[in-house]
Amino acid sequence: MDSYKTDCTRIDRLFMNHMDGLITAAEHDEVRSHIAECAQCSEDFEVYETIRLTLSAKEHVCSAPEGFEESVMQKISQLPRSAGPVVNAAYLLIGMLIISIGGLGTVFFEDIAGALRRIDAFPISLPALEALFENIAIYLSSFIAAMGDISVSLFEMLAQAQLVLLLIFVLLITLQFFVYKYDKA
Amino acid sequence: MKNLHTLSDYEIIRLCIDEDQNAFSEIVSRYKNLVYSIVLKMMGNTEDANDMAQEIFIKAYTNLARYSPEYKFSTWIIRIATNHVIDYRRKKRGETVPIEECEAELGFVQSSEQTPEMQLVKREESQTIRDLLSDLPDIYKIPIVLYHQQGLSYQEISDIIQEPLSKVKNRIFRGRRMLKDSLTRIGRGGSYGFL
Repeated sequence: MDSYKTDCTRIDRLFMNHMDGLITAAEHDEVRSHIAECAQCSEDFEVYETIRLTLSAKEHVCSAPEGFEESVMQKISQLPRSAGPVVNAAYLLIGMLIISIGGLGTVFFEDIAGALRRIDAFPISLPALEALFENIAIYLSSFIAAMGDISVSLFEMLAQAQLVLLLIFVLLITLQFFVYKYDKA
Repeated sequence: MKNLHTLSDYEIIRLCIDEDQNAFSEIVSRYKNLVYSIVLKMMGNTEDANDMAQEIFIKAYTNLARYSPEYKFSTWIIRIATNHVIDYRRKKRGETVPIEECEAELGFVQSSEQTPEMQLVKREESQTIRDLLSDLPDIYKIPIVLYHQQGLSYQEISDIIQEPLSKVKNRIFRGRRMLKDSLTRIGRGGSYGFL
C-alpha cells in the first residue's frame, strides 16, 4: 500500500514535469504504465491535461484596445516635467551667489576702505577684475547707505546665515548627485 | 531621425530619458498587448484593464531612470503591472470576476474537426478553468498566468515577483493542484462531461 502511495506521489511530480515539458521518454513510459493501472492517477492526468491545454491556448494573447498607445502618450505629455539635477544645481548656485553678495555687502558697508585696500593688495593683478570688484563695492556701499538701518540688519543677518546656507546647499547638491547616480544604476 | 524599430529596448529608454519622451511610444507599442493581457486576466474586465494598463505604462515612464538592463524590459514592466494590480485590489478589497473578455474579443477558436456539441463542451471546460483560475489567490494565480498563459520561464517569474525559484515552482505546482482538485470536485458532481 505504502509503495502504491509512493508511486502516486512520484507520478504526480512527473505530471508537473510533463506540464513543464521536462519529462524524459523513460518517465513518460513510467507514467503511461502507472495510469493504466491506477484509476485515481489516470483521472488526475486527464484533468491536468485539460488544464494545461486550456491555459496554453493561443486565445490568451489579447490585443490592447484601439487608441491605447495614443492615450498613454497624451497622458505622458501632460505630466509635469522634472527640472533634472543639472538645472536644480544651477538654481542652487544662483541662490548661493545671491547670499554671497549679501555677505559681501556687509563687508563693504562696514569697512569699504579696508575692502578696497584688500582688492588692491591681491597678489595677482587683474585690472579688469579689480575694477569690477571696486565698482561693485562702491555700488553696494552707496546702496546700503541709502537703504538705512533696515538694510544693515538684513545684510548682517544674511552674513551670519551664509555659512549655514552654504553648507545646506553643498549637502543638497551632494545628495542629489548620489540620488541621480543611484537612479541610473 | 532615428529609426526606433531597430533600437533595443534599453537604447529607446536611454533616448526617452536623455532626449525624446516621444520615443516611449515605441515601448508602448512593443509591450501594450503583453501588459494588457496580464492585467485583463488579473482584473477580469476590459474597461478596468484598459485604464489599469495605461496607468502601468505611465508609472513605468516616470520610473524609467530606475530600469536596470540587467533584467529584460518585459520582466520589469510585468513586475510593475502585477504590483500595481495587487495594490489596486488591496485598496479596493474587491473580488475578482471571471475572465471572459479575452476570448470574447478575439473570438473563440473553433476546430473544424469538432462537432458543435464537442465545441460547446470544450467551451464550457475552458470557461470553468478560467473561472477557477480567477478564484485562486493572487500568489498562485500570478505565477500560473505568467507561466502558462504568457509563456514566461520560472526564472523570469522569480525576477518579477522577487521570490526564489523554489518558491515560484512550489506556487505553480500548488496552484495546479488546487485547480485540479476543484475541477475534479465539479466533475464528480456531474456538471461537465470531460471527467
